[in-house]
Amino acid sequence: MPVVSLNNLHKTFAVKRKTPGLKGSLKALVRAEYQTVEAVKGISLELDEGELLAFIGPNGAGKSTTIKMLTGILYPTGGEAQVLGYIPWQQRRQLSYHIGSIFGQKPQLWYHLPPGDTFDLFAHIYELDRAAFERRKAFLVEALGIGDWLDTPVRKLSLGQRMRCEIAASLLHSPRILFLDEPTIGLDVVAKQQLRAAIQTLHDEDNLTIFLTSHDAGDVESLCKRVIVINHGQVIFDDRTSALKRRFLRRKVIGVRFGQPVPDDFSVREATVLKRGTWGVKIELDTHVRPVDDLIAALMAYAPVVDLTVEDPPMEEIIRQIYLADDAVTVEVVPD
Amino acid sequence: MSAVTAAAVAARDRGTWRAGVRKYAAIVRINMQNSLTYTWDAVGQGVAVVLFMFVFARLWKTTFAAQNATVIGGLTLAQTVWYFVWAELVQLSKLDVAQTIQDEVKDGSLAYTLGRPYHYLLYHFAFGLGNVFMRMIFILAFGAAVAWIEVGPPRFVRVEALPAVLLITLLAFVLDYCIMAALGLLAFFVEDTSAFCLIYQKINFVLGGLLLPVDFLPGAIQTVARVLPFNLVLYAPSKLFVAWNGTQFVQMLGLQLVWIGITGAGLVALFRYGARRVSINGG
Repeated sequence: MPVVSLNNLHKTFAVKRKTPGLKGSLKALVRAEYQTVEAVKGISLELDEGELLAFIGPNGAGKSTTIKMLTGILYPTGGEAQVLGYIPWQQRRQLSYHIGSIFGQKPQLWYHLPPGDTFDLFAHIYELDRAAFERRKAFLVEALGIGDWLDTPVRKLSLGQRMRCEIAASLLHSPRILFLDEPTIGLDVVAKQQLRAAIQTLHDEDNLTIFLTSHDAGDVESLCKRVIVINHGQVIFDDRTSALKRRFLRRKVIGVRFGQPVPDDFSVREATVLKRGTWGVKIELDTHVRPVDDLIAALMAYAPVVDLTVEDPPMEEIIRQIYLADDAVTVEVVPD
Repeated sequence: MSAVTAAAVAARDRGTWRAGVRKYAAIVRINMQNSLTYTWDAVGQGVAVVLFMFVFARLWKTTFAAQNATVIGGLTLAQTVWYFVWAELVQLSKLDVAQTIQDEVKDGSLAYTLGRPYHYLLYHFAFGLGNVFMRMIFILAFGAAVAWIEVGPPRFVRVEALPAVLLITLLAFVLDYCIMAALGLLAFFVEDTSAFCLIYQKINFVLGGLLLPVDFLPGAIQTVARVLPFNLVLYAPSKLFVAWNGTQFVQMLGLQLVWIGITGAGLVALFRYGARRVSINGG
């Protein structure tokens, strides 16, 4: 029995249009023109209890709009959806006791107060039994490693620390589903890794169903077994993450900075040098041709390495590859 | 600790009015805590009241002297000055939510509040109430100090009637909230609601009793002003504070409840209509 099911979900927005300049402004004043934007075009999917689903796509793909309809804060233009048996936009209040949500761009912690105060507030808002709330808080504090910051005003916390506290706040009422909308946005590499580890822990220990939207392919690789890619409001890929990795996350870009100057004729076997500077290079690698660890070992053997980064291709590149590989698309695709 | 033992459990009275009261009281409490961060803003507002009250006191002293009167519109000079202490207290402390709600409608952040188990309108009322107490303390302290120096202590205030005055003051906040929140929700239809807020503010000045007590208005205008909701926000609590009258209290309370019913119903209808039109930019 799926805990989330969407059937042909649609959402259109009317966006005001105005030509540039004073003339355009005057024209808009007399007769405003609206353009209909289809943010979500007939998405259908199902999610089982305990699944950790990545719902990814580039900016403007319709990820957040979908999540906002699933949490009941936006009304769809068409289609059906059920979350834990509730119709989100009709039974928003009842549903809210059973789901948690984090919107990366909308903090829920009180900025001038310590996270502990927001936690207490949420205990009242979700009408929790006091003793059970204290036990739950202790569990989350331990699982997320936030004990040291409970009494520190939120404004004094780093973005990564804040986000872990946000997650704790969202889980105090023991929701069955957690909607995470861009949780790693703006975080540095270390903070991202820590947050991903925390999400994984909570998923494993709490059997939490997680619906994660992101435009960061790294979130998907490290966390999710299943991935749905959407673009222009449509699902263009729905399969296991291993399939996405095998077919579309093959390319890696490795940046390396050496402790000595790079010679003009620098080259590497079975990889392409994209850019060469005085001290460092940027190399593109197909992991099916040569494994990443093999190339890194070769680079470290070549000269002392001061810094090294491994990047995934940007989401736009993955989308482009999915469109190019017709057979890769596991659902019906109608590119614009 | 296992995840099972750490699961949160609903309070036994979840869904009852008692749990509801605790919920909104917690919102009031946390915003009171938060408003302590802005203590100096509240002090600043108190200082501004010193200026207002000084001008009002001198103006009315001159007016009473020029007319060689001890009573105007049923109020003595001392009552008139203390009337303005209470009127300024209400005016400067009341929940100024129109701008906040307008901003939330325009940038779509209203939607995030909808996803929680509380009512958007009650949440904003409780949130605003959390700000009120700190502001009231400083405004009352500074305003009363000036009035005391200018016209002496308020000997005419009936201490036993103060709970009733506070009730009328609380209902004045509720009525004003219904109007201000509705003005903020007009952002669903117009780009900027500040013009409506400005009109409301100016009506309050004249017909609401902020510039002068309604008793001082000419006959016909006074009759109209007394049945409109505006005098129930500022004039009603201020007048009862300085000149308690049981009959007038009952009339004002009845009118307040009627207008809260009317404006509250309009506000809820506007909100229900608007919630369906919420759109969020970005994401």
